[in-house]
Amino acid sequence: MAMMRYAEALNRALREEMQRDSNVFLFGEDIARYGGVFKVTKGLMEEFGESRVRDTPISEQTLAAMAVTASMTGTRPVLEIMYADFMPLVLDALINQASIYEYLWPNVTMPFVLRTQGGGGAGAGAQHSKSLDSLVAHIPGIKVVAPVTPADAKGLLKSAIRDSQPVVFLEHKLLYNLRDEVPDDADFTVPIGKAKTVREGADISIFATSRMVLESQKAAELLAQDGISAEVIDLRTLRPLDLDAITASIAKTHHAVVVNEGWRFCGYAAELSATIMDFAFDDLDAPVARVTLPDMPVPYSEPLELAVLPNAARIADAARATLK
Amino acid sequence: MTDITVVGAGGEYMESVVVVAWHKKKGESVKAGELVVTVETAKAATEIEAPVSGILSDIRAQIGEEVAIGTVLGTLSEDGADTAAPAVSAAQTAPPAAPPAAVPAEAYVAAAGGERINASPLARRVAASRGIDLAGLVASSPSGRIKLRDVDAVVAVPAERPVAGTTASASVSAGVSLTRRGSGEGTPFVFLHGFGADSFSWQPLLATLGVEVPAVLVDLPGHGRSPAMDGAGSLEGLAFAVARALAGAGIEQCHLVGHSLGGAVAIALAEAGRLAPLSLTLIAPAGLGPDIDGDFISGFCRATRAESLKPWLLRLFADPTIVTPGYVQAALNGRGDALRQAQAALAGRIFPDGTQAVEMRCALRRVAVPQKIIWGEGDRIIPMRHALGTGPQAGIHLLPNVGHMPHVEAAATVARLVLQNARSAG
Repeated sequence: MAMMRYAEALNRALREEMQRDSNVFLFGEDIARYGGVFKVTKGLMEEFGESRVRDTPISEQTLAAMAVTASMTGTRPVLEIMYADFMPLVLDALINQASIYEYLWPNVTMPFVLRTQGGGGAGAGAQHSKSLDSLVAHIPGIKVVAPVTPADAKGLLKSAIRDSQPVVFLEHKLLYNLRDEVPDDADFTVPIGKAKTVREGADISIFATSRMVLESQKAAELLAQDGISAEVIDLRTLRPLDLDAITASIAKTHHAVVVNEGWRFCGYAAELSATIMDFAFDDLDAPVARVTLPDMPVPYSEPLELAVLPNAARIADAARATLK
Repeated sequence: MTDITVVGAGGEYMESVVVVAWHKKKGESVKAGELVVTVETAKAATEIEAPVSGILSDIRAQIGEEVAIGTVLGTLSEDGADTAAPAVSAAQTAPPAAPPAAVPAEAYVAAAGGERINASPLARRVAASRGIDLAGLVASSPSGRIKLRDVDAVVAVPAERPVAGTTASASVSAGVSLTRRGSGEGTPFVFLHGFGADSFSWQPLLATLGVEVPAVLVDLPGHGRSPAMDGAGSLEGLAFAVARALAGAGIEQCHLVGHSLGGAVAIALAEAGRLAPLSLTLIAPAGLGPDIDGDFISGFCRATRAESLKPWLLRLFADPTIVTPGYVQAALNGRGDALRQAQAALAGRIFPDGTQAVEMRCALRRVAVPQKIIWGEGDRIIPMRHALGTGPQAGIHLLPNVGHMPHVEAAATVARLVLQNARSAG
């Protein structure tokens, strides 16, 4: 175990996987010489050379198509898209190529990873603060992960690189400096599709991913002061969902709050609540509550941004209302 | 044709039960051992299984109806032919019980005038499995939606429910609740319950003792329907309060029966001469040695939830099946937070540091009336060896496969011994 920042844990995962498999290579804007705007790829060009760590022009649509086609030829590309806000530019590659080719041509595999970071809270404004989880989680054939701890970041990125299917890896700009213990072991991985119960509880289940797990844990503390025992489940993977973990928790608590930093309408929280109703309807003692960003751009002004982002107090309020 | 009846064995039955749910419809076929009907007493819901396979040909006791123990609730027939036999005499049957759950102060209308009932999926599922009609329930949520807790409230009967039985009547004497029951004349039996229990705990014993035996059930101060009382925080204080209450009710001569802490109170009453007992029956009494399960005392005093109370209730019995969810809930409902705190304070005085600080062994030797000491061999609260060396006049009865609650787990045996002891007093 070693204490390291989330960004360092990702860097470690990339480095270990590049050492392990010479087919792994990285490309994206400013990731080579500059080491990435969040320093996730720092030092990797120096170690692995310019052919395996490549700077590219600002052309997300082309980059995504490159990831698809390079992976079809037997390499394992890891593409960095600097802000999740630009994911709409890569959607054609994901929707019309990555999610389809395996269906059209059974011998084709596309083992690429698309890393990006999203989320608000950094005063980055309406074009650099979005959480577009649902846009990518909507696409069949694409796996989507969103770890919150440095250890899960390392373990899931390694699993994503080794996976034979396209994986979108969602990071959060406020998590890069989060420090925690991370296993040193080069064989350490975290399985895709497995949720983690980060706090056990009996009265209500809170489901979240990425930074919202931290807010949910704080919410559970607030609720505990009211004598409410909240269970917090870090889904870690948005797709495929760990249904067993979700239904088992609801069978215990009979109440659920789903939290997502993205928009509400047709958002990831909507999908989660519908899934809960599909698989655990008869265990529900109240409607599933959703805590999301309102359907609006993320404001640049700090007080306004704080006023709209989901946080611990809003999650706790939703839990209390559900339990009434 | 086979009758479905409630028999007074096993749990804490009363003289009557309320039918909570039929799990089969009339005309439906039932297998032997399958659940047919759920009834409840003040303490617990009991599920009654079909004695034989057959068809439920008649339902005689409707949901909500209170019927005496032994009443035929319904019949099973082989061919399903409707029975022409008249329903069992309702002579012993009390009028229909009050709604089983107290309506919360803030109640919300779940259904108005034939509209679809607003209930959560879980509440619907659980209500259907228990045969509970949602139409009779009241939503406790501001959403107006019936939730699981509203369904659970039907089974969890509050302790305020009056003692069933046609001749029972409760009164308060000098701040202590006394419940008189029994139709017969003669010297009454005064029953003193154990720590943390209440007068309801005698119901299994009373059911086997017979309705004619006159009995006075005491709720010790800080227990059941008797609030905590200044000066009743010690054994002497408890004995004094009970003596005053019995004197106020005109009871001087009696047969004394005490369980656990109530046993120690009984010895104190008899020894101090405040009461003139003709016989003394002690069931797993306190006061005869220093040992007691301190973990039980503190855990029981702390418990405010079913999850935390159940493990301690299980320790009272040799047979874990007695402690059903309904039993736990009833025990919880019977003890509000004020009583719980009063009991914790009392335990701090009488059982400090997991030790019995009351010594009644010498006092017991000074009591000259016939004595019986009854103990379960599987008692995990107070060891049965405390029965030894209590003097030549005490008859000791050790019951195998019984825990700290012989009057519940071996009610018939204890009833017989209580009557024997009384008869030996002449």
